[in-house]
Amino acid sequence: MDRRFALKNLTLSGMGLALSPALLSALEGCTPAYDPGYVLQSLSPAQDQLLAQLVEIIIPTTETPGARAAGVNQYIDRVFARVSEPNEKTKFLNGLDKLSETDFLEMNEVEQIETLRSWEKSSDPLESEFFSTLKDMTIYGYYTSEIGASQELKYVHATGFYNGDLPYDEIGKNFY
Amino acid sequence: MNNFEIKKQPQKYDAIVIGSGISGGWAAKELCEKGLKTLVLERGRPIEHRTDYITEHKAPWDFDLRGDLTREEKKEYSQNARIGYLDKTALHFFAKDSESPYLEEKPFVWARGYQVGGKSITWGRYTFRISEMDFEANKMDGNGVDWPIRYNDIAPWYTYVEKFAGISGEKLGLSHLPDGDFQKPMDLNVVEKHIRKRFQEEYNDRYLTIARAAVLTEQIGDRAPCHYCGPCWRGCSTGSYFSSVSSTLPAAEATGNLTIRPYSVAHSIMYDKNSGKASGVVVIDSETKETIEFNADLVFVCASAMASTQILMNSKSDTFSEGIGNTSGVLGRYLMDHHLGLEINATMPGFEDKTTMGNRPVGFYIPRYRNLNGQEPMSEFIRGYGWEGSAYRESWGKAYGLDGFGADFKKEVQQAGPWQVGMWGFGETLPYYDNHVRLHESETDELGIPKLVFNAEIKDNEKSMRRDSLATMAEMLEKAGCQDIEAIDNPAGAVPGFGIHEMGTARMGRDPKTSYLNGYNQSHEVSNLFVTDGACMTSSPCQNPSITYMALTARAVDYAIDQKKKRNI
Repeated sequence: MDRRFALKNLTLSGMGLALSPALLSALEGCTPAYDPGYVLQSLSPAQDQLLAQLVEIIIPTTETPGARAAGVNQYIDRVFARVSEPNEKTKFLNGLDKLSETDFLEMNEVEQIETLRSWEKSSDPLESEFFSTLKDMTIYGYYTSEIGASQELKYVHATGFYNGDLPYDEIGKNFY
Repeated sequence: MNNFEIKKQPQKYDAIVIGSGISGGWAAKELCEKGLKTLVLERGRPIEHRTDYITEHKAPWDFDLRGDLTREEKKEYSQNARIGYLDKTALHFFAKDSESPYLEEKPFVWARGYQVGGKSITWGRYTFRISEMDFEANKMDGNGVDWPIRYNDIAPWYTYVEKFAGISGEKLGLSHLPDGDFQKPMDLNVVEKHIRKRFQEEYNDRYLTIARAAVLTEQIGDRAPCHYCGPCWRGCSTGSYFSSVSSTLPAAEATGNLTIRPYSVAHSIMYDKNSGKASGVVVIDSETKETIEFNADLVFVCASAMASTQILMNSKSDTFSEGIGNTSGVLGRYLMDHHLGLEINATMPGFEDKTTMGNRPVGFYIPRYRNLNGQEPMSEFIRGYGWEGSAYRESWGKAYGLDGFGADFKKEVQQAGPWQVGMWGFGETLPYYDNHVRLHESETDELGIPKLVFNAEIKDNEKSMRRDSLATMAEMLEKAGCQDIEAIDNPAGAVPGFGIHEMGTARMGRDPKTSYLNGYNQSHEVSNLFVTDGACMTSSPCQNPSITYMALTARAVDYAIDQKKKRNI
């Protein structure tokens, strides 16, 4: 894990960092990705299954894992359970239910993408607002996940220095 | 720190300090080092350096809601949630509005840190001296009362506190932003250097420098140089930024003269009519709800500007019906904060072969460039403003502005966007009599302490300043080569308290009829009572103020001890 490596380097380089018990347990406490044992807090299993496919279409697996592997559907489930206001949740679930009526999961991938594209551009606010909420939550959930932040992007923790004039090619992609 | 006072029949102390934040920590250190047995009263919980920085070095995915507040947390922090950046990574260092109620006659954000260390754990760490021009301003333009001190009175004390706190920064030789005793500066990045150079080419009075900050670039004792992890406000195990917990309180504790008592809410200051002095502090233990009286020869009030004034107002006696030392009635008046919500976003074309590495915890600073000595005064407004900011490659946040989704979308988000420049301004607010806090006549908190009522707002001078600041900075960035410049006046940021730089309400001055404190932060009327936090400010120069509280506190302790030796206190 990058952070452990960084911290180890810190102590080795004589930064005087004492690893407290709290710090050590913080390092062990990651919930980095999709959790097969996850207990749904606001969505039904069917809604979760549909959502997992939707987030994967928004940010798919390429050379790096996509939003499903990053557990973004589970993150969204937690947000609706604990963060969002009830009316926001209702609105989102209405969109999800309408999409499930199209037998979305039975479609092939091209059809699924077509459907989402039509929702993105839809004049029906239920469809376009659902899409925009789905996309925004997927973006946030993915790029703040361990996969998104440290595999897809470059995650640096405690470098011990600041370089304000580094050739971009040495990194070649965005930092988290 | 394990020497918490738990006795119910306590000894008499040489000094009591109310509050353990930036000012209280300094008062404690100076008093203890000069041999005074000192009791520090802290209303919040104890904090153990390192152990209690529970979110330090956590990654975003270590937070199951990625930093979002739950519905319940948003209710508990209903007033403070307006700050916008309050999230789960540091929520535990902010007091809950639901447990610490206050009343907004006009909108006010009152951010409080109820723990040992106070807001010194979460502060912004920028440290700029205020200048002779600032100390003279009230006298020159007739707003407020004259500061009872000048730059030369405080300059050696700035140096004294800077050496201990550890300030990294660059000397500029500007009279309106005096240089200090600095550690080597952190680096500007390639685009910031470019903007700096362009300002130098275009202007003779505008500078861009790395912010002077209480973040170490060189070792001090067991405090290590910054390791560039980024979010200082979660706490720093290496003590690389100044806080009471990393710096002043350990120094105070090392003397053997310090007692810290957490969960100790200062109810009021006791006044002894016979001696004409403060005799001590009435405390409510927030855990047991017991009321306990602590006695001392000296009382330093450092509870944070608004809380200090609340305590002083609540200290009523036959002699002082409107609060201890408040015969003038000036206590609570002339509330100031820096007005924020001046926001600039721009793109800098080019430099796309460059990026940065490391999470630098300090941005750049553009010192005030309006109404300086030697310049033609502005007709639209008096005083001035400064700018903070940074330049950075647009990161994954670009995803929100991109159409579409899928593999190509993901690929595009992975690549850095153009360089962007983000800036936010800090404006001076004039001291207005109308802008005030007062105790509510009947409503109290659960401990029976009257709630504080806030009634303050920015007025015409500040509004004119805001227009000028946005127009000039947009023009400056355009000359520097920026594009897509957005200059936004965000009214939410102009709500007093949003700057978390509350100042005034127990101001210093020369005349006891129009000010609460003299030039040594000493009550005009009660000689052993000192107030050294932001409440003492006579005006609100646009520089971030905490280093001034540090210097004034050390200076006030030095004076108090001298006066005590001479038996004048």
